Formats: sequence, C-alpha cells, structure tokens
Amino acid sequence: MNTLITVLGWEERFYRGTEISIEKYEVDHVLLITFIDYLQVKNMEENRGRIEKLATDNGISLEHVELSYSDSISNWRKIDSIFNEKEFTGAVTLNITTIPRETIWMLLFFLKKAVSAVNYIYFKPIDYCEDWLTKNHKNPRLLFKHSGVFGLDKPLALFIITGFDGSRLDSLIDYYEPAKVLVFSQNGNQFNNDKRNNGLKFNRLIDIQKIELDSYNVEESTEILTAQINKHSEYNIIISSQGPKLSSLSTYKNYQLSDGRVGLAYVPAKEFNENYSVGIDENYVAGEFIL
Amino acid sequence: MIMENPFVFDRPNNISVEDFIQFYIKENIYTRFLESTRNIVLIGVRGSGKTSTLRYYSFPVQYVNPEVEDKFAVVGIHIPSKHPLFGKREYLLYESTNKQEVVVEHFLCVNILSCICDTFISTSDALNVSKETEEEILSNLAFILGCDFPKSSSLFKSIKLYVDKEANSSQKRLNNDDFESFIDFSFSFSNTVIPFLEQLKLLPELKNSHFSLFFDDIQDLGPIHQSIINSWLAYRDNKLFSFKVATADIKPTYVTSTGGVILEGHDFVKIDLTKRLFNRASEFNKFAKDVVSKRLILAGIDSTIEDFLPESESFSEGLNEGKEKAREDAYKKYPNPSGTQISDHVAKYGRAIYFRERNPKSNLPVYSGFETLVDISTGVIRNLLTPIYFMYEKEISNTGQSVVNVIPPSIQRDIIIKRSEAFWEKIRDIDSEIENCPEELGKYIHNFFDQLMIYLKKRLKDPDISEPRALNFIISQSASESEQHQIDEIINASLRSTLLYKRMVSHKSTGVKLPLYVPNRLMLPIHGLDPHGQYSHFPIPAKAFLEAAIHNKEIPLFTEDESSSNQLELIF
Repeated sequence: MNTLITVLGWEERFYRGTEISIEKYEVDHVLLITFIDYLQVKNMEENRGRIEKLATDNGISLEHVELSYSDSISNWRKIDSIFNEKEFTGAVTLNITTIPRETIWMLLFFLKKAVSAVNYIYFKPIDYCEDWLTKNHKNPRLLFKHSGVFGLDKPLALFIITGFDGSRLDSLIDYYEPAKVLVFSQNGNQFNNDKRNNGLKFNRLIDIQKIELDSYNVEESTEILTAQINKHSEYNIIISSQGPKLSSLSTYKNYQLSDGRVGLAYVPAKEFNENYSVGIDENYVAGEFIL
Repeated sequence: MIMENPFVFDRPNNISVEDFIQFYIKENIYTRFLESTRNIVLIGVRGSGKTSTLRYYSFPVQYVNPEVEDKFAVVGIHIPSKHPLFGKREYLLYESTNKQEVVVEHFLCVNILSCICDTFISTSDALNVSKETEEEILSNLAFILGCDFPKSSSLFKSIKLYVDKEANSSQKRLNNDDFESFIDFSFSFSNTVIPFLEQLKLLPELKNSHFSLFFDDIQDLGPIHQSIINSWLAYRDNKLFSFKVATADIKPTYVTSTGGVILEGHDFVKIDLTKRLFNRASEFNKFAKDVVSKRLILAGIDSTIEDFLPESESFSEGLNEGKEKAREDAYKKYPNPSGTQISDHVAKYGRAIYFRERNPKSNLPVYSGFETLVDISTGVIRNLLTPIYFMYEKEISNTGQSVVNVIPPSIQRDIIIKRSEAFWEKIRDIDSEIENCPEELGKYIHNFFDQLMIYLKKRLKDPDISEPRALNFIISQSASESEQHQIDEIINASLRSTLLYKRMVSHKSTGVKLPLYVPNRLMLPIHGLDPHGQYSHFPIPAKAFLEAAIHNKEIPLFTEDESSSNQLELIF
C-alpha cells in the first residue's frame, strides 16, 4: 500500500499538488496532517473537504492526524506514538510543498525507523505574494533529537539557508550570537529572488561568509553544505533552512552525514500570509531520499 | 596592543585578559558587592556592561590585575550562558518535571565544571600544584564521581577532559532512543560542583578561598534553568561559594525549582546597572568620558575627546543663539532677577529655542559632539561605542588613512541619522523583532512611539510649558484591569526590545513608587528633536496612552504635573 504524507494547506498549490502526487505515486493511503490552529485560515476547511472527496472518489483511504503548530512537544509525542504503531508496506511519499520544515525533519526521523527511503515531491507556486510571507516569529529552537553534539570550547558557526523572510534570519543571528555566520542564498532570479532574498543586515560586527547554491537541486546543495561542514570542524554548527522547502532535505541529509554532530534549528512563525503564494507550477521537483 | 578600530564593542569574552584590563573602566560603586561573598543579582539592559563587569572580577583578570592585593581571597569563575548546549530541548520530552530538572541541572553543572577548569587552565602559573596534591585530588574525585581521569595531563586538563567526555556522551544519550537512561547517571550541583570546589581547597593557594560563581546572561536560559539557579541561590551557607547572577531580563524570575521564591535582602542583593541611565549627577557622562578617553590613548590617537568628536559649528552656533534668546526672554520676564533665575531660565529654554525655531523645511541639525553622542546612547555604553565604531570606519574609508584623529561633524551626523532611521525601521517591524509579538501589538507600539514624537514636538514648541525638553514619562491615572493589561503588554514589549528603559521612582511627597519610562533617544534625531532632554518627566494618562497606541490619536497636552508636590525621586 503506497502512502502519501502531506500537510493540509490553504495555498492553491496544495490541492492540485496532492492530486498530481496521488496519480504519480499510485497512492492508496493518504496521511493528512492538519495543524488545527490554522484551520480558520481561508480555504483550509474547503481544501480538507476536497481531499476527503478526492480520496472517496478514488478509493483511497484517508487518515487524519491533527497537530498543533504551537505545541512542538505534543506534536513530537503524537507522531512518535502514531509511527510506532504503523507499518508501511509500500512506498512512502512526502509532498513537502506545504509541510513546515520542522515537521519534515520530524517525519524523516520517525520514518527512518520504518522504511529505508522515501519519495519526495515539491511544487513551486507561480508566484509568491509581494507582501510579507510570515510574521510574529518565535525564538529559534533546536529540533528534538537533532540538537547536535556540541563541544564545550568550540565557537559557534551558524549555517543559514536564506529565503524571503529576512527577519527570520536576523532573529537567528540575534538569538545564537554566533562567532561566524555562513549565509547560503539561492542563486538565480526566480520570484525576484535577487531583490527579495536580501534580508541580512551586513553591518554586523561578526564574520559573515556568503555562499550561493541551488536549493532546488538537493544533491548539489547537499554537497556544498557538506563541504562547508567539513571545513568548519573546529566549530559547533547549527543549521537552519529558511530557503526553498527542498533545502530542508539537504540540511537533513547533512545532519545524517555529520553523525548527529550538527544541530538543526527552526524559527517558528505565528502568522502566515493568507495570500502566501499564487498558483502551481506543475513542473514539480521529485526524487528519492535515502534515510 | 592597538586595535584596528579602537571602538569595537565586541563581546568582552573575545578579547585577551591583557587587552581587557587595559580597556575596562572600573566602577567602584559595585566593587564592594562583587568582591563580597554574598549572592548578587546584577540587572542591566543589553549593552550596559554586565559581562565586562563580571569578567573584570573573574580570577584570570584579577590574578594579573596589579590593583588586586589578595588574589586568592575571592576566586571569581565566569560562567557564560550563551552556549548552544542550553538550547537543547529534549528535556521537555520527559513528562516528569523532576526528570526535566535532572537533565537541565546536568548541563548547567557540565558548564560550571568546564568554566572552573578553564579558569585555572588559563592561569596555570597561579597555582603551585604538587604531584602529591594533584594525585590526591584526582583520586578523591575519581572515588566521589566514580570515574577515571586521564593520567598524562595536568590536574585541570585531566578534569576538563573528563567533563568533555561526559558532555559528549550525555548529548548523544539525550538524542538517542534510550534517553531514559540519561536519568541514571547525571551531574547535580551537590554531587559534582560542591565536591569539586571542596577538593580545590586542598591546593595551598586556595585553602582559604571563597569561590564566586558568575552566571552571565541568564535571561538566555529557559525557565527551568533559571529556577534551578535560583534554588542554588537559596543555599544560605556562603562559606565555600556564592553566586553573582547577571540578567538583562526586565522582570527576572525569582522562583525556585521547588516552587519557592528567593528573597532580595535575604537570599541575594540586587544591583541595578540601569540606575546610571537617569542620574542627574551625570555619572554615566563621566564613565563614558573615561571609556572613550582610554580607547583614544590605547589607539595612540593624540586628541582630546572634544577634538576627536567635535561639535559642528552650525550646531554650536544654533545652540548659542538659542541661549542668547533665552537670556533676553529671561531679562524681560525677570526685570529684577534674583539668585539663579536668569541662568535657570537659560538652561531650561536655551536649547528648546534652538530646536523649536529651526525652519521645519531645513535639514536636520548636524547632530555631533561627544555630549550629543552620550545623550543619544541613553546611558547604555554599547549605544555609545557602536556609532563611534561606524563613524571611525567611515572616516577611514573616506580618507584612506590608517589612523583617525578627528571624526568630522558631517560624518557623525550621517551615522547618527542612519542609525536613527534604522531604529525606526526596527520600530515599524517590531513584531518581527520580539518573540510572540502579534502584528496588532506591533502596530500599537509603532503608533505609540509615532504619537510620542508628535507630542514631544508639541511640548518643545509650546512657549508656556515649563519643561519643554522633558523626554521621560510616567503613566498617570488609573485604568481598568483590561486597560492596564493592554498598557502592560505594550510597555513590556517596548522594554524587551529596548525602545524604552524603565527606572523606579517615588513621589517625593507621598513616597508612592511608580515606574518612570525613558524612551531610547536614538529615535529622536530623525524627528529633529533634542536628545539632551531635561531632568524632568511628564505624565501620560492611561487612557491617552491607549488612545495613542490603539487608535493612533494624538496625546493631548495636559496641565503640568510637575508641581513640587508631584516631584519624583529615583529609588536606589
């Protein structure tokens, strides 16, 4: 039985992306995670109904898992208990398009206990809204069980894969006060990337190194990150992915490659723009992720 | 040593002991407390010098400090809290609070032991450790801790290696599936730190020492971490050790891990570094002068502060003209002046006249001069050194010279205005700056400070107002419970993000205590306001405060509330 795991979203790319994923991976079972604290956002209830109908019409079993975005401890415990009792007999696919990065990492952690690889699929939108994307950020937090193994005397290097939310970048730097920051920014000019991916205040009194990568190419960006992790072996390293959602896969891969030495950090936001993105680019990015 | 830019305000831990001693300006008022064997809680906003103060009294600095006579009487161990180890949250996955505390206490103790070792490793020539004593201590500790120490290293390096190993393995255990096993072996203050300190007394130099554990920046720790440290403060036997705890928290928690509360006076003495923010006696001005002069000397810059940071001619002339006009007004008002009536009037209104009579369409004043920079810093040393750092950098890039002997007023003004603009950007996006700040609250904060600027301009321009340049305010008149809650939310978020500073004052006549709020003066230059201020305050009624914040309504000018019966005095 092939399983698709995704998170209910309000964006236009959510429903069509799920439809395409189901078809591509011949999905028999959908595990739909809903963050109940965002159910009131427009289109959420409607999209949930549409997925329920899609499942019924296609003879697909649908399993609802309700989490609370504001309660990472309960979420961890809940996913832990669900996955402990679950057996995956077929392929498992993650449609990561609308899954928060922290949840992607958490799912990969628990899936590792059950399967040796997962498929991933990601849909870009046609465009992002011009206005803010996320607001009201909480303090950064290290992911449970992925908090690194830190040396007592090593300085801290913060690796940040940047995105369009400059303030998340600043809150990371302000919070951790690292000795060094490596900023990995997306190359190219898609979605006005050159103008929007520029949130870093460079007049800081810390050592900042800027590196370009293509997050849409998971293998290549993994290699770039690995090279920098190896180069900074004298540092404690915390990585945070703020850029394209696919970068959460390359960061997780590097967590694995480092044997748990690096820590994964996430900056939660409390407010998301209802008009976060527009449309769906059906030229998805997909691949296999070895756990 | 000459630093590339002498005004760098780096974290004090990043500079060598020798450089630190040269740069540090000692404030004697704290010495009595920080050298004492009592528990101290040191409160100060970010950038107010907490870390420097703690580092100065730490053993590695005191040991090489020629001013210190008995270097072993009180041994200060600096324990920074800014380590990613404390960002680990796995302890929250334990349902039992006791287990959570066990994990947190373990990492706190790892850090303490590591810092004690670092202290003595960095001062290896201070202690005369004989082979016999070393073996005795290691053997005792091996027995107490149930461990083996590496033999090939010196005493503190051996212990440090052991602590490293434990830190490493406990982090791995915590991230693994069998993390319940963590509970079976873990460090606690009483099973590791106290025995370790007791063993150190076997060293001849430390036989009579008191160990002072300096916890720095504990506002960065989680509530459980803080409650455990508070529990340690509740130990009242301070013969062997005491704690000096520094926090930037505006409302530090005093709750212990057992749910009790530590009490000021009984369990600890509180030192408030923010008191110098608003002192009439210009304590901070003198301190700032000492800090900048010392840096000029160490950098080999042969200029006085006034020559290095000169005031622009137009700014000085404008201020002088204002004073002249005020003098003329004073003679009209007091044709037969007595005592200091004329000079008082000039001091009160001179600067106000300059700022008030400037053409609103003309450029902003050329904010410049050391005094202006001190005013804009609002009594926070980092707020003073950071702009001078950037001024110095800009002058170097403009002139291409390696040493700067003077920072022209135009550059001073440019940096001040840019920083003021950036500060307003921060206010506009304040909801992104503060954790858990909803967009609506961010808007209220922005509205309030916008209206405060309009209000300050109105005061400045009103010829009948007695304190036209007052910048500090109190919130007067009572509010309903829900209104007070809203006010507290806005004020607390503003305090956390250093848009405002707070000082407790009391009414001279009634003794009633209340908070006095001091806006960060960096917000004033972009509005053409005078950052110098006046030793005075104005009241903003609770309802007017909320109207300004929620509905963006102007704050009305109320009848002066500055009569002698309502005068305030600072509480020290």
